[in-house]
Amino acid sequence: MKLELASFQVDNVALAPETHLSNKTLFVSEGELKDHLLPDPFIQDIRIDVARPGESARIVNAIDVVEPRAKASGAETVFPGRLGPPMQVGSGTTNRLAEMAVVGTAEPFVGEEYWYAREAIIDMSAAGAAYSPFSETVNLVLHFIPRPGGEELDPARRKQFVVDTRTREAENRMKATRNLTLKAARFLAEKVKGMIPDYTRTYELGPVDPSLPGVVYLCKSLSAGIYGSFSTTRKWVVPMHPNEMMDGAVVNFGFLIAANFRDCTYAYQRNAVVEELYSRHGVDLNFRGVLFYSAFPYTLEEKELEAGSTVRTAKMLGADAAIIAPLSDGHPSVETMMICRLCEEAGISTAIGAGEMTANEGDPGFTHWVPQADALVFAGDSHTELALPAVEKVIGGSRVLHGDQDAAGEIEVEARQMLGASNPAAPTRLFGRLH
Amino acid sequence: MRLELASFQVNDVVFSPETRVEGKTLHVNVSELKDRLLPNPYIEDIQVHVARPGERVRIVHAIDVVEPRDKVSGPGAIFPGRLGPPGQVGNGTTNRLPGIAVVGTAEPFTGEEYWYAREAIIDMSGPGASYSPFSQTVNLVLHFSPKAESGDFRSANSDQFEVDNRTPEANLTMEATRDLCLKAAKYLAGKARGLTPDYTRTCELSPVDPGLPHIVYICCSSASIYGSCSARRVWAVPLHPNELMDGAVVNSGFLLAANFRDCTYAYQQDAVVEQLYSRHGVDLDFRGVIFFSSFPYTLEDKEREAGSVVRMAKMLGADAAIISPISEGHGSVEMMMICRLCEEAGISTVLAVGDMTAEKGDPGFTHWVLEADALVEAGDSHHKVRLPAVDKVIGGARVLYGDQEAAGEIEVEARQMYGASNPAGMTRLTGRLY
Repeated sequence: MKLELASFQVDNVALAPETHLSNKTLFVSEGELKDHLLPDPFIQDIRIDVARPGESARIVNAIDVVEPRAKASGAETVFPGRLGPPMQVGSGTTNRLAEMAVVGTAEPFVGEEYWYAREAIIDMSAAGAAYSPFSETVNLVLHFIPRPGGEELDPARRKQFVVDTRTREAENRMKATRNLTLKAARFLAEKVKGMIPDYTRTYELGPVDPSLPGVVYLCKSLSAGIYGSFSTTRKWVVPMHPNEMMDGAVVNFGFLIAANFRDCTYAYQRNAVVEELYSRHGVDLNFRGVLFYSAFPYTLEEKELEAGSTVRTAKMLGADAAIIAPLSDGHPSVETMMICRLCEEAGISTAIGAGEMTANEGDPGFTHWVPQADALVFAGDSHTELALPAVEKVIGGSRVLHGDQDAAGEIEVEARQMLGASNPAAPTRLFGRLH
Repeated sequence: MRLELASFQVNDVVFSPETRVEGKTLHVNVSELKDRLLPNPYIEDIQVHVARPGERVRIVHAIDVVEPRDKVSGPGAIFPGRLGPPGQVGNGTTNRLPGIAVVGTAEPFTGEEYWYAREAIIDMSGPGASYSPFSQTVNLVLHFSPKAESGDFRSANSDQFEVDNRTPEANLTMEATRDLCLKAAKYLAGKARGLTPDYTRTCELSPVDPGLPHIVYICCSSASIYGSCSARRVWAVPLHPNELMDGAVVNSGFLLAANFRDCTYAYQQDAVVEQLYSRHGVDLDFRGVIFFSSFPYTLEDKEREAGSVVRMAKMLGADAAIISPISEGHGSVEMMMICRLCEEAGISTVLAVGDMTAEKGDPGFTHWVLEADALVEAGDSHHKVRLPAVDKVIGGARVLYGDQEAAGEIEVEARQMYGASNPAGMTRLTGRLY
């Protein structure tokens, strides 16, 4: 599988009468973009805004973040299973608009029972900027206004609160915001078809010296849609070629997980672990592929099934070592540790990238731990408290859901409200230092 | 992964006061066996019979067939996920009793809406014997009598017939018959512990000449894998062949037509696996088995599944694939989609299929693609079979197909004969070109 990833540098985004890329500025016609996305059965209107690095701007209620990409040729589409049939991707040429992102935002919908994980903040400057990689991209923000309709959640269902409880109407609106964000990203990247890219990188896992250690990346994906299919109770590992992720075979889909860990589509398109393993393929390792293991098998037996399936597949792919980076906490941390133990027992060395949840002093910050987990990379704490200064402009709503604060004012939040603050697999901006 | 498969040949099964293996005869104490299996919340009683090759005996309403196996060392238990936690198997030592099989039978349960696939016949002699590999094994038949009433089902739902529609109670009763067959198989093989095996085979896919072509076996199945059975699963499940030998895959879920049916025995001794194993390092490099499920209903899910299977094959380095769906209908569609995608991805394919030629001129395929240019024909489902009267019937008094007297002369189709045209090679019929 060989993918040419052609990059078109974007230093600025400006609204203009016609959508085109010129001199590293992406001009976006609001009318053209809205005509492309609307009408939609669930979305009434879209407000389009730009947030640039360094601006005194705050984005709240973010849902997904996507890098604009489009296939330069061939019958396939990026985001297969979402924007077209679930056809195999990962080959051919894909155009991308580098250093920018499409951010979708929406206030909670009627019929949506939300919890802390619904809020996701991006501060484009000052102290908050360090807590999100998206303070460094030029963001085209699409704020989605739903069509009226839908009912409040039945109080009886409210009492049985589970993660992301929504009415069907609210779910449809959430799905529409995500799909339209993907569609906008593809629309923008299609505008550079036929142009000469700034640089092109070839991604291919060619044969390498067989004595190099085989390495797999075990990725827990809590809410990923894989080729458009999302299953929380899937117990079988799904192996992938990393090129497929670059073409959007994996997107944000199901649960909205805490913003700091959230597996937004961008985090799959530009996965830091994948990039690193690719760059070392043939140098000091043999990158054997990515294995997705799922989110929420609830029972111990199902967790055992899933862990067994993951390790077995890793073994069949010739893994000598595995990087385990779960994009979440809670339930998934249990499977992660089970997988770690089984890997080590099967002779596969492991390194784990993990965020932690140190709610109180003295709390070790792990849901589960096994003695075999002796190489951990710490991705950051969810509960660090942050005070962020007032900003001149807010996009995505007027209130911060956490504590119902005025979004334009000085706010107090936790790291877990900051989009991408401690994603163990994405380019985060924080790193630790041992004192 | 390295498995020592120790074989204790059994040529006869007799009832006796003590259960033991002695001089190639398995002695079975029936009450001891029943004490092992009962009480059970869904099964009231079990009748135990023996049916030997050449006897004028007919077994009807068979559900599963299992070879007795027992894990004596290495991690995990035999039939993981069914008789214990779903821990990894395929390493260590496993005892087996070749020459015999445990056959479970049961009449349709109250609350079971059955169709043609529910009948499964094994004739131990006469012309019917050639339609089943289990006419060649000494069979210990367990006939299960369910506990009373599980509710009337037909009145409410009979107009919404789906494959294997059952009330929850009937379903639990069906699963109980399957689990008890596995349990009996484990119990019997357990009696070989401490004895010297007749022969032992080491199953290991050790590294071979990298120039040999890489082969995967792509198997369509609605079976339970490590105890989990999901007909709508859209993702490929790769397994090491040793795991099949240790019972990680067992009959469950849908009851497929008897001629194709994926009984547990067919996974324990999969002919394709055996053949690929025997040629590993000789003229090929056996890379593993990939299971796909037979019943994603939508075209999108079928595309997802086909993509996932081919991707997995490619990641395992496959140059060629043997595709053998243990089913027809839906499964045949995915099989052809997988064939096309494989060939497009540079993986050569050979397909083994049973066909369904209902009428003259019917091509016998549900779906076909141009890339499917190497097919092995496993036999026709609709071939009419006339079987003579027998002295003894086990499993019930009537043949469900046509409601015929089971002891008399009967007329059935090949698809009622257990294992008549299993495309994984567990069959006694061969074709000849004229």
